[in-house]
Amino acid sequence: MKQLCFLLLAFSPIVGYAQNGYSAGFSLITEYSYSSFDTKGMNGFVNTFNEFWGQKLSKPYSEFSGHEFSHPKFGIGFRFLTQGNAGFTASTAFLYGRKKYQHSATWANDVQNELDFKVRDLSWTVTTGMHIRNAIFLEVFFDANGRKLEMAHATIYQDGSKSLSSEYKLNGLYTGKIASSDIGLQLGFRLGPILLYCKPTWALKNFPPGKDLVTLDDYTNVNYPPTDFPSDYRKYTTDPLGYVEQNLGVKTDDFEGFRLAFGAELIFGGKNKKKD
Amino acid sequence: MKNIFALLLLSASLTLILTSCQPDEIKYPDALIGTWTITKSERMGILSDGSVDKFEDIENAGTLDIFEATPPAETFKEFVFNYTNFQGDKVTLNSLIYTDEDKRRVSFSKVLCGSPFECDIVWTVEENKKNKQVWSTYGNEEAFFYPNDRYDPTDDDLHLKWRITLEK
Repeated sequence: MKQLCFLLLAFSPIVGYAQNGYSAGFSLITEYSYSSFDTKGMNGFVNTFNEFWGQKLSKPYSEFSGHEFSHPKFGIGFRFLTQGNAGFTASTAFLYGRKKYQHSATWANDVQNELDFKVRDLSWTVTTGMHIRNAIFLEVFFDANGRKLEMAHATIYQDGSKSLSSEYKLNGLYTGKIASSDIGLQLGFRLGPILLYCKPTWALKNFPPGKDLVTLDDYTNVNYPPTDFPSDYRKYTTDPLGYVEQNLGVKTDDFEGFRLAFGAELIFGGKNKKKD
Repeated sequence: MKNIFALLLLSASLTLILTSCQPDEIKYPDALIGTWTITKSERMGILSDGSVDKFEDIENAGTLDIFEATPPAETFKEFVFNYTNFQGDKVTLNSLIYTDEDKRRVSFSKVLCGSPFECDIVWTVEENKKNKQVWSTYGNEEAFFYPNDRYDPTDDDLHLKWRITLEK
């Protein structure tokens, strides 16, 4: 893939500038982003929790597939392209999307533990590459993605009351910010003003660097440590000191990964000029 | 390769800008400042069949005053909570009040003891309107707030709930 990126980047401007003129236009974008995240941390919690409580759970947590945070995105952008049968094209856009998701386990007495997720993604994207007859687009893709993750752990009682309070230690509102950069390809086919595209992207691990814990976002230290959300529930419960020393909380950068997006870009302008 | 590095650098810069734009500290919603009347205080047991057994259901149970801290702070305020229970016992709590980003929880800081841990009353916000708030806090059959066993809810046949309705 590196070679392809290099070829597209290196030669597309030359192809583009060899033609006469250029055009540009604003665009409205909508896409569905089928995303995956590393389930190691969350499924570590699910498996150790289910195993620790065993028969006390009438419905244990199911494992995460890693695709729970797939969601649509919407945005605005700007596309530039040179004229000609083959030319240079580049675009930039801001995209926003969010997803809510709930995951729960039920105890033998019908009390439930609920994980209530809210994910918000804001991306700044850049594409550059070439077009053929302003109909087929082959581009490389970069983005800077800011993801805000909120996960409320609630206890739901038999009468439906939902508690985020302190009577059970896991209860709380855990938040994490995930800053990631992604790299990939964007392949598009333009029909009139609409560019339909498919976009596989990969998160650059440790770029930007940092492995923060998903931690309780509250101004008070309600609990004795550990206060982060555990990837090893047994250790969290039976050996909290060892848990803290071994840093076994769920890491925020688990929540980034491969994405496959299908979308449509409605371009205002950016047409080939008719030949005289 | 220069193009790739330039774009990566640009992308990293924007990532940093995007993340730094998100405030690290959350401003306490000023809308809560003022004097609230505790128009209703309900304490109840939630039984395992889902029924509720109220042992307190009183109106005009006191007041909650929320005001600017001294010196002023953006992330917390001060409060005075005056409450009279169904037996006529009066309680006055005076401390700092915090909330989270989405105002789903409200904490009365260090009102149960002086330790930095397990001394807050943590309310779950059930209703959040400009002139009406409904907050609840819970316990099990041992105690409200921080019972001894804070892991296993099946050990308890009864769970406790204290709900207050606040109106301006």
